[in-house]
Amino acid sequence: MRPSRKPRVEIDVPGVGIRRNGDDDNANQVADRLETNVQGENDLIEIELFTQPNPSPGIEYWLRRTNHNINVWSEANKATGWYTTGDAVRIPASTTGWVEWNTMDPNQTGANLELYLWDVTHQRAVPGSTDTLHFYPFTSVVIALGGEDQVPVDPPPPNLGVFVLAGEMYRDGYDVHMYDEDAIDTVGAGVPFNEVLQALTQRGVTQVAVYGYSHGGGSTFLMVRRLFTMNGVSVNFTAYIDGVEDEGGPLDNDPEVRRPPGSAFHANYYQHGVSDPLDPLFDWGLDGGPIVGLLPTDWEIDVETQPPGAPWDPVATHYTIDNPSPPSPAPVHADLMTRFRARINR
Amino acid sequence: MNRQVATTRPSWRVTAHPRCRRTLAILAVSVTCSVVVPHLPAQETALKPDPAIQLQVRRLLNLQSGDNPFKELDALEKLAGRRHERLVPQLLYFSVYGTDAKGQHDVKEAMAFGWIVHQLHISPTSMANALVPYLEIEDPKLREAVREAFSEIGYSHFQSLVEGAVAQGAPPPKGLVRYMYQRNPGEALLTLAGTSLLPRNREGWKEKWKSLLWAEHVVSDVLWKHEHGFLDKRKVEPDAKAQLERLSKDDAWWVRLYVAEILRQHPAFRTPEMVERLKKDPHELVREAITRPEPKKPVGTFPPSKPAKVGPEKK
Repeated sequence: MRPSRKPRVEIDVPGVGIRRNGDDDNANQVADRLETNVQGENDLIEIELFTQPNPSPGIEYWLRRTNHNINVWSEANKATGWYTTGDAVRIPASTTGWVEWNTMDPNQTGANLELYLWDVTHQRAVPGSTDTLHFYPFTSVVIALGGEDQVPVDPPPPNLGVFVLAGEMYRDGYDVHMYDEDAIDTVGAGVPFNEVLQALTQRGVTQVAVYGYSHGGGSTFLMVRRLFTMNGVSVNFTAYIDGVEDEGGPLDNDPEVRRPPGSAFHANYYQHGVSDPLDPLFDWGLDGGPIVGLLPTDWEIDVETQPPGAPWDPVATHYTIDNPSPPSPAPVHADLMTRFRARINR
Repeated sequence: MNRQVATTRPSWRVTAHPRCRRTLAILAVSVTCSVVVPHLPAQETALKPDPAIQLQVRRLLNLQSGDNPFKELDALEKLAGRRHERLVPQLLYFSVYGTDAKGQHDVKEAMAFGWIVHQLHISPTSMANALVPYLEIEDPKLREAVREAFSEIGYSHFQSLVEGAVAQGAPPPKGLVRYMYQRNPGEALLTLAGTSLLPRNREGWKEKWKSLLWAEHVVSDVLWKHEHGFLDKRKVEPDAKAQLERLSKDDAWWVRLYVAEILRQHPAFRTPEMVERLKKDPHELVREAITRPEPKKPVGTFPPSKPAKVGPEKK
């Protein structure tokens, strides 16, 4: 018996997020949802179906979809579809399938796959045997940018706080993409930029969130500025965790205090860098800083001194402010997640 | 007849998107501050020295062996405030008028500004934000020092200041706008076009953005040709003139200001009709720019070259 990675109950709420497959991964000018055998297809969700004992006399296992918003394929590249006729298919043995969301209708917000036992003798579903997976299409995309030399990894170690946050958002049901901040060039272009545009124009996404730590904060500014200036995109949520400008790459040590243009809401967390090499909190003096042009509806906190009398972390350094665990406590993470969830739908 | 019915429920596991129910309560974090009151810098006419800050700067420049410069820098920053709006102008003042214990002002005092800004990692944006109010200060030495400091700052930093004002329903600071357009009209035009002054949620914004990009490019191309001798500075290509003519009738004052500044700085582009139209412009900055004198040519530039007259060789 193969243990499940996650208890089944944990995937019930809110269900399984899935991308609308309106993009063109094989670059043939045809939306992937309209074709088969899509090389490079990366928007399907793998499911594993365990059916035991199977075969079993008098019993069959069937998989039914509740509507045509989804389809199931045998392969990740959509070679063999399961629902060629009707909405139910027999599962002869434990197997793997790939689920695709194949409609762009924004009014279609859910679909279920139901795995159930079929009593062949009585020609009916066995009561109480149904296991259901609910799918919902993503309406947002999240970009997480690490600091200098922080390469995305899953699961991330605790010192890669930005990616720890990303994991939490991912488990919370969001479509999160982690990147090295070097993926964004000095004018904001790069793979993350393209991902956002693709999500907006081809996958029915209506909300964008971008956040970064250190140079990832600087890259956040550059990318969001490009999205706004060139494409008129107003990103819904942005955040810097001790943001540092990134136009000059590793040589750029200036605090990122520019508000990302067009951002509907910006959260800024920073501490005070220490330049004295003899000080135990020495961090090359690296730090973010108060945002110039912060709007009244934005949020900002100096974690070392605020709130007065009970600052979040009086001994924060540039290297610990983003961490989720001691020595830097978690208020930055918890606060960012709270503000993020309040503004971004799945 | 025994009918064996499988009692094991079918199960599955989602492997590409493992899911986790939200089981952790969000930490209740109470904060009593951090909402920042919007701040729009006003133009200042004078910069007065703050004795405590000036003293601390002088102390920094006169450390003895065993003193810790980082502690003194830290003390300076705590004294003046983390937002640097007080500190930067005071540093600038010191770099112009600061003296040592003997009352002398030398290179050491003059360079203090740059060194301390660098040591404290004061960002160009913060520096610009702090100095904008002093761009048109009455004291000519301080005014020159402010403009020198600004000359190192890129336009993306000014964009934040403009956007900050516009987002709060206020016009961009006049002194900053004047400076931006006088220094580089084309970059100023595109910087302002990159803010909410050109709202991205209005129909036709992209066409307008592209038309401004193109116009600036066409005009810049002519200016480049002038600079490098590919085109007589007294001549202008028709397309560039047509672009400026079109922009001079734009409904956005910051577009017309670009035209006014180009005409002022490069007389070859002028037409009497455009000049007269802009002199009657409804916006103060546009009228001001078109009537301001042409900038003086820097020492060392020469008029368009003419062949030197070579007299007959003396026999």
